[in-house]
Amino acid sequence: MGKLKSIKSKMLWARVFKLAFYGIGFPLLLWFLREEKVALNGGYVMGNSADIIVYFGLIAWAVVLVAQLIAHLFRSKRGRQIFATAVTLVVVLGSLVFCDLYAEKQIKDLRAADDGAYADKVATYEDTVVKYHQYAKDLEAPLQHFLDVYNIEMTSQNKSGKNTDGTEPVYDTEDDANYSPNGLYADGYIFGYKAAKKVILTYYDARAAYQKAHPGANIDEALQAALEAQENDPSSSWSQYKRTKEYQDAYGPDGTATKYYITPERLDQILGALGEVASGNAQIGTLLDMVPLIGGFISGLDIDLDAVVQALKENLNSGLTLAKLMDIVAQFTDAINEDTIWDLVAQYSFYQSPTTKPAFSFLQDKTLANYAWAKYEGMTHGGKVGSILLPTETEVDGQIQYSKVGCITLSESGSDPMSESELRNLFENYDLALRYMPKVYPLIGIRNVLVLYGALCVFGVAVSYFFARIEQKQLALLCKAAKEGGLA
Amino acid sequence: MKTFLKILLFVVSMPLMLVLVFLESKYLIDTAGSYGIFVWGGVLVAALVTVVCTLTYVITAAQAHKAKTIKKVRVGTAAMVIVSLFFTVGVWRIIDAVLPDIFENATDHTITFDMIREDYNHRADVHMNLLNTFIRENYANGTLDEMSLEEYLDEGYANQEVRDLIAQRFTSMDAGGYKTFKANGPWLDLANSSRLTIPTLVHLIINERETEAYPFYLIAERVTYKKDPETGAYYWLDDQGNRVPAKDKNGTNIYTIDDRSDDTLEMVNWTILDMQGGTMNISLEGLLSGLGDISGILGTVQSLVGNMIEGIENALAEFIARPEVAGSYIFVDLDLDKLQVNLISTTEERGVLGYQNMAWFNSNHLLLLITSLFPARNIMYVFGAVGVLCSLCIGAIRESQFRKRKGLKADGEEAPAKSEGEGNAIPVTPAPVEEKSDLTPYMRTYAEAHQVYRSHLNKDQLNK
Repeated sequence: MGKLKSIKSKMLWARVFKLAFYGIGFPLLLWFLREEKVALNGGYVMGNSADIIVYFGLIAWAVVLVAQLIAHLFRSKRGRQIFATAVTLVVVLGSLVFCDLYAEKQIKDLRAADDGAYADKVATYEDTVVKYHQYAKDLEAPLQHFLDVYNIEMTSQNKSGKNTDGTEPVYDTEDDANYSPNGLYADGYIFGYKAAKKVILTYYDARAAYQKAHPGANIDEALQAALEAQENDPSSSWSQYKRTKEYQDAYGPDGTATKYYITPERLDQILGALGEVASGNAQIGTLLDMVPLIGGFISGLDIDLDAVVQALKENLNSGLTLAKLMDIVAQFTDAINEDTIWDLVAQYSFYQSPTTKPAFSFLQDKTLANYAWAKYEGMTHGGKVGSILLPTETEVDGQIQYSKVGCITLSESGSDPMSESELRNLFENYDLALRYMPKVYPLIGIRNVLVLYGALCVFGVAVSYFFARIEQKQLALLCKAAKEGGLA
Repeated sequence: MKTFLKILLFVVSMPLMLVLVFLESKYLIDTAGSYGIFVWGGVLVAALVTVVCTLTYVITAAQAHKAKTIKKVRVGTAAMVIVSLFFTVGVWRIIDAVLPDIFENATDHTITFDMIREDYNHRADVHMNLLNTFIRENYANGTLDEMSLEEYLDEGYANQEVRDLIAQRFTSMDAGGYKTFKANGPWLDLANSSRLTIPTLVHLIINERETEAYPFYLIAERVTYKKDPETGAYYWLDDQGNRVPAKDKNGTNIYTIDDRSDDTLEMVNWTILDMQGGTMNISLEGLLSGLGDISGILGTVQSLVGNMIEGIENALAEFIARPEVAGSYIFVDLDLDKLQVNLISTTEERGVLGYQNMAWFNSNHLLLLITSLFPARNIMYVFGAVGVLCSLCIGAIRESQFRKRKGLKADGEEAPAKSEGEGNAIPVTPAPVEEKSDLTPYMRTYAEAHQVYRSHLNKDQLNK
């Protein structure tokens, strides 16, 4: 019985050590690789690119397992051990050397690219292999700040899918954008990073280009003049386009776009309804009578309010229209006219048909056309969807003041805009990071894990074979003792 | 004693689980009892599981009693373990995997799985509050007028009149509101995702919508009918005492109604504010801040026009309701003290809730059915383990009874079979391993050693 116990005990310990050392081989390596993946993954730069680290571990393990199966064909137990250990060593060391050389080459090539343009922005390989975790996370905060300021997300959204007039936008994967048939962003399109960057850079690039070509000139005034010129020129491409069926189908009588904004006819209908309701309401009548009295409290008001009220009352019940209203106003001031009113109305109620080209796309000066496009998308479209990308500039006491951007809604008042240099710097850094970090950093991660734990893995495989041999030896002893009746 | 123990072990597994599920569901059942069977979901599931497990227990008990080998007893134990585990943990793992997406899509993500997983009693409160609010509003506006408010509240969803009213109200808001907005581009989705900009609001108000206006049942005026004894027709008396024939919704004179209110039909073009429900407050402070200190002017305005404000507000509401503008009422309240304009929806006036609440409300019975499953969730997860343990204990007792019945020893494996083919005792003499030529050398060594070892144990056992 004592002999049996001794053999059983040795067999048990051999089995325990065999498993323990096998565990510190690939299972432990895989766990370290997984930890590395978790540390690297996440965020806008790395995304899930570090998943490859775990896939590498699984493939390496699978290769060694196949080698172990092949090793079983060997008669020599020591030969099996040596073969399996050698294959593990080759897999581990080979991967380490490959990752090291490839990652180093990538970093060096990038630092040398474009005559060393990125040498200051991309750390040396030696520095990177130490601080790559930090570098991968460094951009996250400024990028998140950018997304928060402009109320966008990294990838775009297109609310409800269809445009207001029922047309179907087309999604462009490359641009991450939903385009309407006229080439503008879809009605419900909310910018992703790519589109926001495109709009912002187009805006600043156009301004810079215009400034270079016309030093001292104001691009906004030039744009306004160009638009007015083509509007007033009956032979301009824009004027000709307005006569086409395509345009008339949208903006002509009962056009597809006219149901979605306040047209002159509709404004007159609204004013007519207002006049009818107001003229039939005693309190409003009394209030109108009191307007001159209240006006007396406002200093500096030199309008004959009695006459205004009288004229207004006369028109209220006889189909009030914008023209009639402006006739009344014109008697007292020329500061407000129909154009003023339409500019105001258009700010909040203009619908750009997705099937017609906008006026700015007919501008001959491409710099101005690009600038107008960026302003339309960044300000007008952004203003509709609650993601204003570009601030308006106002000069107050010689100082340029910028309006708020981002989320300006009935309950939110937006954020202060980022400066042009901040934005350019952010875009440049992020785009540069995307060029190499997701590709190179996982390899550096594999390299570092293998440097630290690769040898342990090889050792674990080798020693587990050693204990397997001891276990088998004890089994053989057990068999022999049993056959000889030594166990009874 | 052992039989009693077996029954006790069974009772503390599934039947106890059923009792606990019932107790955990009691609040929901008491709160939303008017929804009938729909709030008994969790209890019904637990009852079903208990029935299945009881059947398994009974069948395996009969099998164990007739079993000729201990293997059959063990198969019965395994069946009990598997059944109790699958119908508790297994079923809930499947529900946890499948239900969240289906549920959240069905509610347009307005109610998430996590919101009801643990906080089911709160959801019951929320939905019952919706029902009570709905009943109160419609009682106040005279739509529900056949019983007292308390009786309506007591009967709740069980009352047919209330059920019909909910369905009709929701259909109206859905057809004349939500669907028309959804078919009108991205504006509603933008508003619903915290992007309600001024241009978006303007689009939501002025865009022409293909309104599929749905008759909306609203009491405009309460009148008491009287029956003409000669013709049998009903009539009511107007302010001047003139007889006005009572007419049904199609304008036909009524002869066979009881004494109740007149009904009018209103075609409703629901506004975006109705979709949201409640009141929207717009502060004028920012707008007027450019004018400097205007408190003096405001004070003067208030003293001069204070008593006219209501008339002006009514005029504004009339103006907004004109087809040229929004086509439906939005009530305006000018609050000069707080310097804000309050835009008030018609929801309360018309006895509806905001669209989201109405959508929930219309499917309240289904929502409550799903919600009622959750009191059972944690209990069933826990009783999966309890069931396994109890099944194993019951199995052990059955084995012990089997051995006693067969006169076998209790320890280790069974004693050798009494006759050939009976029992599953391990042969003393090992089969020659060499015959198994399909084994690798390594496996052959293992098999050889294993057989030797087992033979030795049997010999050892027999030698005792």
